[in-house]
Amino acid sequence: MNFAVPEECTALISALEKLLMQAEATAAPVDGSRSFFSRDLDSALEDSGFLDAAGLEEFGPMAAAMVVQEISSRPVIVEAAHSSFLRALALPEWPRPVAVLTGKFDQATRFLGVARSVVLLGENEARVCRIEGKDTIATAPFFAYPMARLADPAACLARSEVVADAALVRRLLLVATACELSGILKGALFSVTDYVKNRRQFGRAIGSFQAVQHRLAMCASTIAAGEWLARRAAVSGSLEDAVMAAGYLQESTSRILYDLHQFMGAMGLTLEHPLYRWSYRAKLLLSDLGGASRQLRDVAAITWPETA
Amino acid sequence: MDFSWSGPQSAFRARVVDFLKSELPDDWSEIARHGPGSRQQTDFSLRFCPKLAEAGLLVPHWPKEFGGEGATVWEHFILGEEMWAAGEPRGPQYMNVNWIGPTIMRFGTDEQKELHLPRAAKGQAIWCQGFSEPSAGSDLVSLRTSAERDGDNFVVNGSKIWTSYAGLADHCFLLARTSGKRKDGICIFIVPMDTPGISVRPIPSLVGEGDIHEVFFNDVTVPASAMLGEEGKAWSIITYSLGNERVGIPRYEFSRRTLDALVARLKEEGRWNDEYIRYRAGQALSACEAARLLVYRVVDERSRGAPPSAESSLARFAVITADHAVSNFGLEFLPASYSNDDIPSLKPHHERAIASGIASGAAEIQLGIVAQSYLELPWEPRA
Ligand SMILES: Cc1cc2nc3c(=O)[nH]c(=O)nc-3n(C[C@H](O)[C@H](O)[C@H](O)COP(=O)(O)OP(=O)(O)OC[C@H]3O[C@@H](n4cnc5c(N)ncnc54)[C@H](O)[C@@H]3O)c2cc1C
Repeated sequence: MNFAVPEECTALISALEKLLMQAEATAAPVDGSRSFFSRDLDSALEDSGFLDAAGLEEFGPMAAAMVVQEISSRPVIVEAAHSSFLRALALPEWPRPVAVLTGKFDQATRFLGVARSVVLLGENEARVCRIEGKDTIATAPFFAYPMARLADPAACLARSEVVADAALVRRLLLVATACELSGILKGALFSVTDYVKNRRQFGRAIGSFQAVQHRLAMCASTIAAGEWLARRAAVSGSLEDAVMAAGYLQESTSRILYDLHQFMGAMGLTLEHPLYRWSYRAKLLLSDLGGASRQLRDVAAITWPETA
Repeated sequence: MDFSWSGPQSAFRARVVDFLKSELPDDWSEIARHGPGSRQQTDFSLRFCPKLAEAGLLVPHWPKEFGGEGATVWEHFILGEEMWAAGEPRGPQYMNVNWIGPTIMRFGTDEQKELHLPRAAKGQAIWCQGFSEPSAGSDLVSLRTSAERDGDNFVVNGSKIWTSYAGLADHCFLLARTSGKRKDGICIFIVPMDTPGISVRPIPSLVGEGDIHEVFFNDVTVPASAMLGEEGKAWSIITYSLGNERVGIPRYEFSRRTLDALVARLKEEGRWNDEYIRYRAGQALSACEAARLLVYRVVDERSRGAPPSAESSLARFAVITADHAVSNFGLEFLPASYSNDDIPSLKPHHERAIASGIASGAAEIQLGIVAQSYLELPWEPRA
């Protein structure tokens, strides 16, 4: 047991932080559009190799988990999680950004409009297909991610090839979701924490009210646990750890988002404050791969199998 | 970074598990039903801990000069996990080995070390912790029990409440006030419980028979040599002791094993195919594992010699959440087992769970520490 972050990871994350800070400084101001994609940053992350860490001997899945958590904790929106786990470990030859469709392939999903590969995950097989923007139709920007659906799902399916074991793809996606969600929630928490330290009402910072403090502290405990559950799942490679991490975080998300929005008052409902860039990503991830309902039933079934 | 156990750590765990298998008697589950705070378990600890000590498993993490083996922080923790998984057969003696012994080692005089450490290391000492008072619970600094200097002695007057194990303890780790100054007026005394003027009254409660007590001090004469640490320096010593205690109890392991037993029972009853029950079991399980990882993080920090931080309060809140998740699962799906008494750990687990957000510092106190030290929120109203 050793929770110390290896030096290589620390160096990687500080280099990543620099890149993210530059991107945030030069990013276009929040422009009133609800969904968003930082194309330049996405390319820069790809070019500099941050999204390949999982497959590299000197880094590995722990570094990938930290990379995804760090990127997701920022109010920028890029496709990092699918690439860092699914592409790096199972589909290295396929171009990114990578979008994923599970179950029904005619649904809208995140990053599809900007993706160059789409993974079609059924219960028994995982297929991949190259796509371009013209293969997709953008849908309403309800979530902060860019959302689109396939123009012709049947044609895409026909063109696709079976690439990897569905169970492996599902596990890697669970880890990706857990890392992304934990990063998002942590970023949102610290954004709200900053706000309540500065916003004053009744002659004092609202962050000094105990009702606010205790609920944020509860959020902090859950988010910290989720962060480590996700890291453990990335490193151990066990399905049990992966469903547990994703399930725990998905289960906790609604309560956390309620509190985070609540303590921002009306400001949190605007597109001027970036809270929505975290919260409206998290709202979509709630249902990933069957959501907490499936994950928590699965982890129980794996831990206490029928026959044992 | 590595989330698996090293070879020596696994070997150490196996040693503890083997010991428990061979040394816990057939009627252990009958004794354990009464809970770790009970008179039965305290009595049992006086038979069991000497055997643990002989096997080198009571204080393995203590330095060799005090009877230990210089085991690592992680090994100490593995020991705690397996003890809790079995229902804590060390009873109250976990306190001696976890924090009372180490506190005496660090702050005690040679005479105090000689008097108390060998008995604790042999598994023969039962201590109680005399901190809380009727008007000093969360706000411990407001304690009133007084210790007035009288030549070479102090005379103690006052009362303590909620004192676990006081009915059978031979010594009390007592906090008393030698002057009116808030923190700076508090001292620690090591007081034999058979000193004239001490009386103990058990408090009937929901947390197990004979667990909590009131302790009255009526003109109790204590020699000055029984003071631990310098006069007025108790607060920094307690902070050190409680820093160890805050995350010291791997109760998530007790919750986890109780959850295993609940699921086994649901399987026997043919109810394990109920999807909602499985979902709720998954919820409780993930709460236990969340607590485990946050606690491990703190243990890891401690193993590197880092000072106690707000991370332990983050972890403690997760442990409380896990205790309640498992307890609520049992109450919702197997209420009859609480009266049938067919799952030995169920009642003691419930008794720990209802107290877990209160004993050793209320959950809200932990949340306050997280808010102010981890999230750095302002702690005083600013005008
Ligand atoms: C099973 C058990 C065993 C115990 N064993 C011992 C022992 O061996 N020795 C010993 O000395 N003590 C012992 N205690 C006492 C324990 O340390 C106290 O119960 C604890 O510190 C809380 O004090 P209190 O019960 O007086 O609650 P109070 O201080 O009266 O608080 C009641 C509630 O008010 C809230 N509250 C209090 N302060 C704040 C605040 N600042 N902000 C927000 N909310 C607040 C919390 O919800 C708290 O639970 C034990 C308690 C239990 C339940």
